[in-house]
Amino acid sequence: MAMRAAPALLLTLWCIISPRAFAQVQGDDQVQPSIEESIVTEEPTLTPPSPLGELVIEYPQDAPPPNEPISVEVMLTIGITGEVTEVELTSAPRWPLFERAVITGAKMFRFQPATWGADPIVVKVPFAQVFEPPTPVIEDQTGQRFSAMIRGVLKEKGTRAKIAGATVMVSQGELHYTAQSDEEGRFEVPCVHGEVIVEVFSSAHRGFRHRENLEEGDELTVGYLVRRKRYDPESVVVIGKRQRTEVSRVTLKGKEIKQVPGTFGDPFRVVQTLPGVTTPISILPIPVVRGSSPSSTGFLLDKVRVPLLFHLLGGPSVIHPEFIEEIHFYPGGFPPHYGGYTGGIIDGETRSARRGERLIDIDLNLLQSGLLIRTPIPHTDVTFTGAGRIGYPGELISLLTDDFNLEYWDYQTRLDGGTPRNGWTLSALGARDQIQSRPAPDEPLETTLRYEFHRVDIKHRYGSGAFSLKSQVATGQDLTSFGEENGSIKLWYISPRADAEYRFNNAWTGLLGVDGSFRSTELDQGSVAGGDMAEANEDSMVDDSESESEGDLTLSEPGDITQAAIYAATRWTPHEDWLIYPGVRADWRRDQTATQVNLDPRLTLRYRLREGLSEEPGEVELTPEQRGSGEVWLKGGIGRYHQPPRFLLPIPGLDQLALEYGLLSSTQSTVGAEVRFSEGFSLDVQGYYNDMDPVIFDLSFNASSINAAPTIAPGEAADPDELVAEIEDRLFSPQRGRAYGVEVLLRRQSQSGVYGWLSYTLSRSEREREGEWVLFDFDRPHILNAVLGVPLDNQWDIGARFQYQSGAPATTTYGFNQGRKSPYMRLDLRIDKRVVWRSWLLDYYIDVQNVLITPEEVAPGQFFRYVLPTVGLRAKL
Amino acid sequence: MQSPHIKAQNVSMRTRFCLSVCLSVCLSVCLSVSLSVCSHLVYAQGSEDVKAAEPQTFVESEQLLSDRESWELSGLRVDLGSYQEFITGRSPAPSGSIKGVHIGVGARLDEEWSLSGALRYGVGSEGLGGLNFSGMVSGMYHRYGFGLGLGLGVIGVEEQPDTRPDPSPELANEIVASYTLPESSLPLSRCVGFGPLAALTALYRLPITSIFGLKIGAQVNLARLTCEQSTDRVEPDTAQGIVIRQYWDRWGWSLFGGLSWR
Repeated sequence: MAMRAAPALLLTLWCIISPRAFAQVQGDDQVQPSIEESIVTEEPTLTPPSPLGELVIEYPQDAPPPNEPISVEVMLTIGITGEVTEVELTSAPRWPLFERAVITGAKMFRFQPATWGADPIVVKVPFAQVFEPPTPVIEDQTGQRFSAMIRGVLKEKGTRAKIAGATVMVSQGELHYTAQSDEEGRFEVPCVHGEVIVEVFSSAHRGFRHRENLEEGDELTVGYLVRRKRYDPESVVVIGKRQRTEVSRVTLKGKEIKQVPGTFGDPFRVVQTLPGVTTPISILPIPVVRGSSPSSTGFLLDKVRVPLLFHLLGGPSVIHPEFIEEIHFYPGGFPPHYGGYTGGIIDGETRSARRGERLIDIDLNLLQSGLLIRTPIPHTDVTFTGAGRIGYPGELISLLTDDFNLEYWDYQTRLDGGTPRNGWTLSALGARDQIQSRPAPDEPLETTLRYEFHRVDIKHRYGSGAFSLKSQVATGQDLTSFGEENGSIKLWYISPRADAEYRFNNAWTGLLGVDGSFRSTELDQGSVAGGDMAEANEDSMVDDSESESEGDLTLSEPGDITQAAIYAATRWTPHEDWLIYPGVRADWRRDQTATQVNLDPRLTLRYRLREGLSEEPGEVELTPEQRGSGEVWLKGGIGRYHQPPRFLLPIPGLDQLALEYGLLSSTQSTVGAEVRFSEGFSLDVQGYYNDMDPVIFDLSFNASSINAAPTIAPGEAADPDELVAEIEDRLFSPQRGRAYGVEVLLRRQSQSGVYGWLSYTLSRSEREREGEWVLFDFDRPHILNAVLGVPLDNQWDIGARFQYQSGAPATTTYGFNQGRKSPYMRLDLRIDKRVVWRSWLLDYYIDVQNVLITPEEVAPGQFFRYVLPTVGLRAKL
Repeated sequence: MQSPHIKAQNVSMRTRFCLSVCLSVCLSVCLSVSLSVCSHLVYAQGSEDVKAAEPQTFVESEQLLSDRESWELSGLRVDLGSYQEFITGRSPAPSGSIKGVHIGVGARLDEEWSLSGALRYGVGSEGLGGLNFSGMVSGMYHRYGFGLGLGLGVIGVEEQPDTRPDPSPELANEIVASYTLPESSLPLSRCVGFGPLAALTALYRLPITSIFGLKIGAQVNLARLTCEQSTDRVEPDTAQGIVIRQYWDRWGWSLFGGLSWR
């Protein structure tokens, strides 16, 4: 390696400046006159030596490349012939190899000799040689050499996920250099130095471009944040194909439960858009499923009852949406591990946190604020999740009136440990709702109603080979208070359960489970609904008719309630096209008024009429949306269902009444078909018939007859006192009911594309009165729901929901429920926008329920209009 | 069940409503700033897993298009703002003004054309009352940030009881079926109803960044409302409510402004 020397300037300067140089003569004793003497006496002048050719010192071959510049200084003695006769090291000896190279190389220098006048003279001149660190030579695998290198890491903006398989291209004019990022998102691109443009290409990410300036030999380390085209943390992830074992189950997950318009991101509210579901008033989340009373439908969380699922007056559910992984909705025909209900089941399934999962979720909107934190606990395999929300709808209500206020809060905490197959979960949740009203214009607000519950769950799951066992114990307290003067109802309970499953072989799986509960009800002083419940029950625990006073609604106090159940079932697939799923459940219940026992056999059958599309070896691989398309299943089921008597609406502490009123029961039957199409489409059609015998505490308030004169307010009974007595009699007297209809669900599921469904129900729900079948108060022949979610560019999601339902029956002069109120339709819109920051995501959303403020006839001639807009934001860190 | 009548105290309700919206926007801004700080703290905690050889700083892409070019790309547009409208009614329709919130959702089809929807919710005053709302779909032509469009939609009103003196207080108890008042009569004391709407809109959109901007505009509209005033009575044979009906024709012009996103 040759190093250029730059000694010429030094040499010249030294010859001119240093008088000593001119005075020294080697091999000649004659003293040369000094410059001053020459100038003064005008004698011959000195001409310094000039190099002949370049003064090049070869880089010593054996020397390693230096990390810093190395300077070697020598004194050259140049003879009268111009040859270097002596080289003397003048710098401190430090680098022998380099010093030897300079000494050896300098002896090869040739000069035009210095002259004094016309005579050549010997001179000594200094010389310095600097050895610079070498410019790195970059070579790729083919041996081609480059003059710079860019290496770095690609990460996704917002999530900081590594980007694998992206193409990185470095360009300079017509020159292009490319490389691929590895699994860790790392890349190396050898290139040329100078100003270059770096671009990143990835099918899942937006274009990236950045300019870099490289010096020769630079190895630049960079980090690039590349924006994804779509951020869909809520996308549906299908892991395998779960075997369907039920006739009438709809499972929703991902965006389907968190971004449906009009539901405010509440997973449980989405059920109202499914077939077979309607509500007494659209704004209230009180479902009427296949014509049964709301108290016949169970709201569960991981198969355990939730005493209060929704906050009051149309508020959101008490569970933070992030806790909910899936919603399972059974409008009927549910399997034997569910018991205690004769209508439908809505079961929210929570998910365990994944090991190492981290999340901060902050939610703010016009009605509430919430925070969720999920973080692993250091040095353990445990993950903690905690969430809390505070609701302030009273602030909006204050725009309308100062005499009423509503506020609420809820919390959920959870610890997850172990693995999904073998692990445990400890969770706690609770909520409180409080309504305040002003008794008189000048008086302060007083609490008139307070709901509250707290619950602790311990769950364990164990799986080994073909056997799995899930066990759970839940305990908690429910409270309903009607104000300081009106008393309260307090309930304490504990509910254990265990579910075991054993797969004998590929065709046979056995299921066995037990569950139970002990509930203790405590009634504080005061009264309920104007009556004196404590006094009434002291007088007569069993025969409530004696304690009944005119116009009062008196309920027997159940006291302590003990319940135990056992179920057994088997899933048998004698052939891959068949599933036979029989089961039986036995329940035993006891309170201070009665003991009730029931036996519920159930059977589900599924038959695959046509096999779906599958790929043969060697054929083109099908997409997940294509696989299984064309598959047709026929299905049917029949079963018996029993439940204890419950109050009309779920109220903490009061959701189960005395067993002396008897058990409600129903026989449910369903037949139907499922067809799976390509591109994620599916069609489900089923017909059902439910025989309810008896129903008690049915939600029914329509008058039996109305006054024929049009001068009286609508719906007013001919005799108001008689109406109250009639309603009371209707509540306590067992009735027979039936409901039948056809349900259609056309659905599209997609991981990141358009999703939605169209559900239509044609149905009829009746009750037997005086030997005749009359319409149930909430019978709606036509129920139509259309939900559509469309993801757009730039992280926008837009969704719409349209609902149409027939008017509910109304009493006319022709008789009980012979007329109908006006039909109702509603349009909801939701817009979501995700803003991607460097390491977190911010979601804005606008959700407007009933954008066109269409009126709903809640009573004949009485219309209720509302629009519920909410603007919110949610941050995910 | 009694219908929950909306008790509106016009001025204080408008003020509280606007304050609530402003508070929400301010909270959003404050939260965004604080979250930017928090994200660094959170990420710092998580960075213990980052290998030492990783670069210390990460950079983002340069902007590939100018702000105006970005806004001319096809895609979704969302607007949130406020408006004030001045109504002139043709007898018997009353005149007045409305202030409220404007929500716009639209699709930019290409550089020149867009299709948009707009929702408006406002509170009436000076002769009008209660909740006034409208929904409209417009086709619009764009040039240099300006837009001109024609739209069709629906308009609705839900006034409080006794917004105006009742012109025929005895009529509500006398009629046995729904009745339509003639145009020569005085306006109903309370209007609840719907009607068609046509509007001409002009706007200007100012890009602030490639995804955020400001919008201002003006609109002229024509509407015909079918007002119904309930008598709180029903036809006993059909259970249908008995109402007094009146048609209101009116035109209005409005100014609106707000924020835009793409």
